[in-house]
Amino acid sequence: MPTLTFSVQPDGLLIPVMIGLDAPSCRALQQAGQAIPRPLQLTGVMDTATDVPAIAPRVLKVLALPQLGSAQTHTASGSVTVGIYEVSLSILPPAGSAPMFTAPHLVVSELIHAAPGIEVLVGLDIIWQGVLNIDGPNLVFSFLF
Amino acid sequence: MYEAATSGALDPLWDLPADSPIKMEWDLFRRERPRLLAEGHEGRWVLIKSEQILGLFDNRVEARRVGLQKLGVVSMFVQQILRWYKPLRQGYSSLCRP
Repeated sequence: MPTLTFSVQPDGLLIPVMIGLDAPSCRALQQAGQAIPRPLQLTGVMDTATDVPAIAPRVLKVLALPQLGSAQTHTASGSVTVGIYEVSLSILPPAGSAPMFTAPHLVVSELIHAAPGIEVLVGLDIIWQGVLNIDGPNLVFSFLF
Repeated sequence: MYEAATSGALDPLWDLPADSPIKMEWDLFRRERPRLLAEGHEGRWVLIKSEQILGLFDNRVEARRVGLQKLGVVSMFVQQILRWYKPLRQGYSSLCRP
């Protein structure tokens, strides 16, 4: 199994991710002769308390992602309505060390409260696709897929 | 288990702001959901654009594929037809930060 290994950071299990249009949308744009927005490289965090991956509104806007649905999420101040979108998501390997993990077609939600510098919550929909090992004493974690 | 999921009652759906790109589709879905459920479409997926239901599908991928084929890369409404919608967790945002 390919393995991506990262250091645990003070803000948690941070990972470099690439977010772009989902593969079916890219094919549709290509067939229509339209430009495909360049994917964005961002900082994400592996978060087992998140279901569907969540992406900061800034990113949704830059990629001009069309909204496809609506859902609700709970916050400290009550229920909040969030938009539903589809993207491609890749977890990038530390410099040239392994193949990247890619989900070419993934349902995501709009992130309500983005922490500074963190624009993607990589939730259980992704984590369930592999094996997440956390080595606390050595402050490293690995994602096998 | 959530009461509405077992009693057959319908959970009311939330409202969307007037400037939402899928406001029209969402309002149509709110109106049509009882009928779709009564006709036995629970668990299936609906594709809506503007004031029109474009189709009912067995899975999300097929609904989205047809939507892209008919409409291109634009906002459209793709929703599973359910009696109750589980709220999504966004856990990281609940952390207390100094």
